[in-house]
Amino acid sequence: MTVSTQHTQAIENIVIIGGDVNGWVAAMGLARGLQGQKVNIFLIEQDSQYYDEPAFINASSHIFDFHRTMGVNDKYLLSNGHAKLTCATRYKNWLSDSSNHYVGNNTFLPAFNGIALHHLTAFCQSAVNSDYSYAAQIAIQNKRIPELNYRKEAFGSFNTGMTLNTQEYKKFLRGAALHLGVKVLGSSLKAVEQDINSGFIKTIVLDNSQRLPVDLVIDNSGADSKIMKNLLNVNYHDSSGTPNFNTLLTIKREGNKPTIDTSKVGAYTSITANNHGWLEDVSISGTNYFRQSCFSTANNIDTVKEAFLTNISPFLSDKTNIIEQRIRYGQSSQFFHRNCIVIGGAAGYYDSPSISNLILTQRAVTRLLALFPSKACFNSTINEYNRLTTKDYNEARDFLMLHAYLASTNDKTTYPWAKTQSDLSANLQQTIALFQCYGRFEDQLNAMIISPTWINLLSMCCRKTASYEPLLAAFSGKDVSRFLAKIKHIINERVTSLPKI
Amino acid sequence: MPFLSGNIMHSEPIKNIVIVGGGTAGWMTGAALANKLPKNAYNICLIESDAIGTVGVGESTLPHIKQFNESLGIDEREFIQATNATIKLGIQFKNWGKINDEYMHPFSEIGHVTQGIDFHHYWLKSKAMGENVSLDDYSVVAMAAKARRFAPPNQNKQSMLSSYAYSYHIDATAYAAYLRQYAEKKAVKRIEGKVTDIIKADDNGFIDSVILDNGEKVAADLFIDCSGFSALLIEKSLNIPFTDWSHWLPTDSAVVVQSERDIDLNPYTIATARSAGWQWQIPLQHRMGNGHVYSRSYVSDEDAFDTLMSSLPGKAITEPRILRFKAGCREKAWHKNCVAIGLSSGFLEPLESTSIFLIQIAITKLIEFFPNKDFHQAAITQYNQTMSHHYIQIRNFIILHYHATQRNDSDFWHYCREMSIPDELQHLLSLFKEGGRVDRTQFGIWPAVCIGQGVIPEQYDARIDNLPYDKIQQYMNNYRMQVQHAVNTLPSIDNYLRQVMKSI
Repeated sequence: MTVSTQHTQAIENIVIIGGDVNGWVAAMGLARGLQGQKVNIFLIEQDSQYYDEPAFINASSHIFDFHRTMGVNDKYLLSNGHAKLTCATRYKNWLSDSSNHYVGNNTFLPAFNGIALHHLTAFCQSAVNSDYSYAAQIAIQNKRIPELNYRKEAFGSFNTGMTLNTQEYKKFLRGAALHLGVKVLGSSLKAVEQDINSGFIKTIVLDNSQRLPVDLVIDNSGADSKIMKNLLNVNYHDSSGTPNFNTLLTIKREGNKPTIDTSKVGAYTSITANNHGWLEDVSISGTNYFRQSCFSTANNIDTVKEAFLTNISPFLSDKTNIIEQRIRYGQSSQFFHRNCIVIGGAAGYYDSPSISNLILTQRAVTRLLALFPSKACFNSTINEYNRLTTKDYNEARDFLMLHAYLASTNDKTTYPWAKTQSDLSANLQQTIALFQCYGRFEDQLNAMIISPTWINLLSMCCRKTASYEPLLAAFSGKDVSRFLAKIKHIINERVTSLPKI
Repeated sequence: MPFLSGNIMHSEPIKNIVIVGGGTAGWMTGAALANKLPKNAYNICLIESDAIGTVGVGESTLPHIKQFNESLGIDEREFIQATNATIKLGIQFKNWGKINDEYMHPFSEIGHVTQGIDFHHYWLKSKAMGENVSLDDYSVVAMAAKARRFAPPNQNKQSMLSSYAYSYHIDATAYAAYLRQYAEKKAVKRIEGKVTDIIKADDNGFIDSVILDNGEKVAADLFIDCSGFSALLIEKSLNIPFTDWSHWLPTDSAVVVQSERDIDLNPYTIATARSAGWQWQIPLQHRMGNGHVYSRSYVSDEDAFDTLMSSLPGKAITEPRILRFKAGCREKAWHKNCVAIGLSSGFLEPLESTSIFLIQIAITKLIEFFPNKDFHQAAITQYNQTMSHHYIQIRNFIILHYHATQRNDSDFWHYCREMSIPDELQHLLSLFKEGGRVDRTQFGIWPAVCIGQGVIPEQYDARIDNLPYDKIQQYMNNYRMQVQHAVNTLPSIDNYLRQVMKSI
């Protein structure tokens, strides 16, 4: 056997266009992953004006996978109050008016004769899922999340998400990236030069006339991306299916004064449904934030803002303090083309209540390192990267859509932004149909979102037609109830013994 | 059976299950269902006839069978004794890339991911620098197999001997018999007889009952078709077509014979490519299983027979038999109230020992999606999608073996080299050929098979060139030594089996 002598060189120069949090995730991740390699990583920071950066991020547990892979010490963020752990999500007004549903970040729930817990609660119609979730109870009872080693128990295991102050997280990543040798370019992108034959970007030209040879471009310049869309003509598909939100309204209030829900101190993220969309409220870095996802036009923006203020009054009344940002649900038709990769808003946007858009970027960076191309950027590598990244974005979109569908099941209110089953992707419709018949959910290999998370949401969506495992019918209702009561008791005992937040 | 919820309509649970056909498929299904389904809630019957032979081969297995046995509470030693089993660490492929080539497809990844880069890239770099060491040498499993040594994996995660799997070579007929005993102890009722007619319900076309040759009528709610190639229920009654894959996998016959084993016991299957197919050698404790898989379009039955008989490792102890088959898959494994498991649901030649594996997946998924009398379409659709996906993945992997060859010494190999292959396989092959990248969700160890058959990536991970080569050399040499050292600590396979057979 002889090795083919064709040899392409290792990538030497990477330029990241756009320094929002996604850009710095890429910078830090690549710098760390390529440590010891002769790779120069540059970041053009000033193109940050081309996208909107949310004030806070509710990141799912994936962020810890990324931090572990990258050797990031997130304890620093947690100890400074710029990041907070959460172990549950509270859905308010989703299922019916003024209803509160807590969903724990379960990774494992106890089974009855091999039958999963959600079947048991469907069987005993009066059972409330959160009663049997260790994570949900910790959040509901306002307890402090136990240390890592104490999150795995026979009566249930859970993971944590992290709420982050975006600017602080970005600063943190930026510091790490600079320490690892990433160079910031203060000037803006002026032009690029492409190779005549391959169409590859060869040179980056800045406003200050600086010229940089480049082997790999990471385009983080937003949905109307400068390189991928405008130069390489790769389209961004606005998602027609998703709830048609295009706006984020945010208000922040310094200090830990009471929020709309004075009892809310638990370790959960809070999502409240209303006529315009959903409202998140968060306390981080000693500041309260309220953020409404909604649809606005020039004509209705004042109405939308009024409604926003009404929803969070009486603590705030000055509407000039509202920060308005644009979002565009959708995804790029390709994530890797020629020698250009899109991330962040340029790649797509499917932020949902428990899986943030940040996660998509972090997974993309990890994936890029695993498939790291040479200067030639082989087609097969590009295809594989696109295939896997598309899978992630499709999954994020479906998860988002499942939330929109959940809203349509509200007993009392018809939310205009809710979606019906027929609006959903074929894949998602099949998933719901499967769950509706006997509470089944099939694990997908290497899924981004783990099955307990899907099952939580599907249980809520399908609560009216609660169907369960046929094999359960062979057991006595009394035995099942007894089992559930035991679990509830054990969890309660443990949670009661935990210190309060 | 009262349901606790008043306002939800639930249809009744299934009560009666009939499995048509014994053999490995039938008795694996019977045993698994009897074990898993709540006692006294279900009646399970298996109809088989002593007059109908089973295929009676399928002796090489995959590591998943361990989980199957474990879930049934079957003791490993008892299993090995009952089936005259030997241990299998992988498959050795001979003459596939080129005549006189050989490589091991082991039950583990080769080497370790180092500095974020897959091990085979380091091997490719060494190769480019003139080193001529086989990839096998870096696989603890491959080297143990060749040295005829074995012990179960070490529990200590730090050990080189912790991250591999193993399976068995078994007497499949004995396995079926063992599972029959198991199942009958758990109240599975065996009915001796041949199915001569099938009655379907007028309204929905569901199978209502089967009629046996003695006139007996056996009714059920759920039917499992384990009738083999005959596919009595799924095809003959329910008319579900068979998707033909023979243009990708042209072998259509196998001549099989058991022989004495006059050579040392090897803890691996051997698959030797021939002029129009390949020959297997599967060692059991008491004999050697031999078979020559071939395509009648390229070699005659007589020549195929001669090839087999002239290369036995010992005297033949059974009459050689010829089996005919066609590669392909049932369009739907589950239709209405009938689930096809085993050969009735599809056939792929045993090149990667996948038949029993596919049976196991089918059973696991049936239990996962176990129906009630509603037979909800969503569950059936999901089941069919999943089974189809498994068949296709394995199909593609087998096609890879045939297609990725430099052999041109026969029309058969010429055909295999030139044929157009499924798109997904083309993508995976390009992925490895161009940059040595692997999709880990695929079946099998792709670097082992690709490199083993001469598919050498055009470019290894370019980052490796930034590492000082003397460091890489040192790393590779050390690794090889560690592998050798670890292998030397293992007992011989003969001693291991002797110890297993002695206990109980």
